[in-house]
Amino acid sequence: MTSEHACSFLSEVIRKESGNWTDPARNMRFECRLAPVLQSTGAASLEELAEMLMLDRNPNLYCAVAEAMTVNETSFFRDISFFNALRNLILPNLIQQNRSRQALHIWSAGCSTGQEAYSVAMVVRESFPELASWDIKILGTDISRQVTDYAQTGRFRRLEVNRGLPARMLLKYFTRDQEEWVIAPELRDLCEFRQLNLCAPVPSLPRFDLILLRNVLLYFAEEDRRGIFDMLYRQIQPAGFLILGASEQAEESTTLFQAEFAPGCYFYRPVER
Amino acid sequence: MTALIVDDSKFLRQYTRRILEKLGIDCKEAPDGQLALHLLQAGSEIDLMLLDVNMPVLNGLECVRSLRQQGLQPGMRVVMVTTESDHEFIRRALEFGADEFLMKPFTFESLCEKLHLLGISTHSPELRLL
Repeated sequence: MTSEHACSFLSEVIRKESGNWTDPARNMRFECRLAPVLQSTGAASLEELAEMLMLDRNPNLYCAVAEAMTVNETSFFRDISFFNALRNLILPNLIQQNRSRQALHIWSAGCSTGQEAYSVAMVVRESFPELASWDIKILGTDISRQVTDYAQTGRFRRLEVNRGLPARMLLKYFTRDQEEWVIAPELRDLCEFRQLNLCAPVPSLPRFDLILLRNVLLYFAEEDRRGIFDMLYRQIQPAGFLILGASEQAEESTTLFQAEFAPGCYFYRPVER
Repeated sequence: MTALIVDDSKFLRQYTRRILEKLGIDCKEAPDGQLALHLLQAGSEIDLMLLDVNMPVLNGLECVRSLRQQGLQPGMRVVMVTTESDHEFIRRALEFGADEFLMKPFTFESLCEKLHLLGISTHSPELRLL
C-alpha cells in the first residue's frame, strides 16, 4: 500500500465515522495528527495503521482515528461581534419569549474543550442577573470524548485562558490552582458536556432555544451538511436561533433556515413548520 | 494606528513588533517605563501600548499608574504583557489603569484576540476601531 492509498483509505474512515471531510492537498496532516494513534497501536507508519484498520475492524480504533483528526481550535469569546449580538439582541429576545416557562436551553455543538459554552455562561451570569432563578442549561457536545471530558473538568491551562478571555472575567470567574485556572462552580453548574456525533442518530435531547454550530460545518461534505441542518431543524424551538461561524452560510445546503441580520453578525431562524 | 512596545527584552520587542506590523500597526519601542513616559510626554501619538512589568528604571505598574495620573493620551489602550499571573497582580494592574492583560509567552492568535477585546479589528487590511 502506498502512502497515497493509506491517506485515501484513512480519509474515508474519517468521513464515515465523523462526517468530516479531509482535503487531499493536506495529507501531511495525517502524520502529525495521527502520531498518538500510531504510538498507541504500535503501527510504524500510516500504511501500517491503514492495514491494521482493514484487517481488524475494531470500532474503537476507527473512532480513535476520527477523533484524532478533528480540529479542536477554539478560544473564549471567539468572534466578539457574535457575543455582542448575544448580549444585546439574542438573549433579550429569548428572555422575552420564554418568560412564562422561565427556561433556556442552549447547545454548543462541536464545542471542543468548552470555551464557547463557558463564554455563553459568563454572558448569562454577567449581563442577565434576572436569569438567576431560571432553568438555564448549556449543553456542549463534540465527537471527541477526550475534549468533552476535558471541558467538563472546567480546568484550563495558561495558553487557553490567554486566548480571548477578558482580564475582568478571569478575575471574576476563575480561581488559580497551580498551573491551571478553574472555572467558578456557578458557571460549571450551567454547563454539561457529552460526546455526540452530529452525523449519527442524535440521542434524546430537548429542543433548544439557541444552537451554536460555529466553524464546524466547513469540515463536512455537502451531503452531510444537509443532513445536519435537517437534524438541527428538528432540535430547535420554532422561535429559536441558529448561529454559524462568521464565514459559513446555510443557504446552499438547506431551505429550513432563513438568515436574519444584526449589526456585525447574522443568524438563522427556522422557517415555519 | 500606532503601538508603543515597552519591554526591556529586545527579542520580545522584535517578536511583538513583527506580529503588530503584520496586522498593519505602526510600532515604536521603548526599553523601560521611564523612556515610554518621555515619549508620551513629548507628544508621540500612541493608540495602543503593550507594557511589560519587570523592567529597570521604571516598572510597568508604575508606568501605567503615572501615565493615567498625568492624563497622557487618554484614549490609549494599555495591555500589560507579563509572566506575572496571580489574581492580585492582575487586579492591581487594572486598578492602576491597564485595559487588558496578556500572559507571556503569547501567540499571534492570543495577541489578536486581546486587540479584538479592546475593539481593535484585525480582520480587514485597514485596521480600524470597531
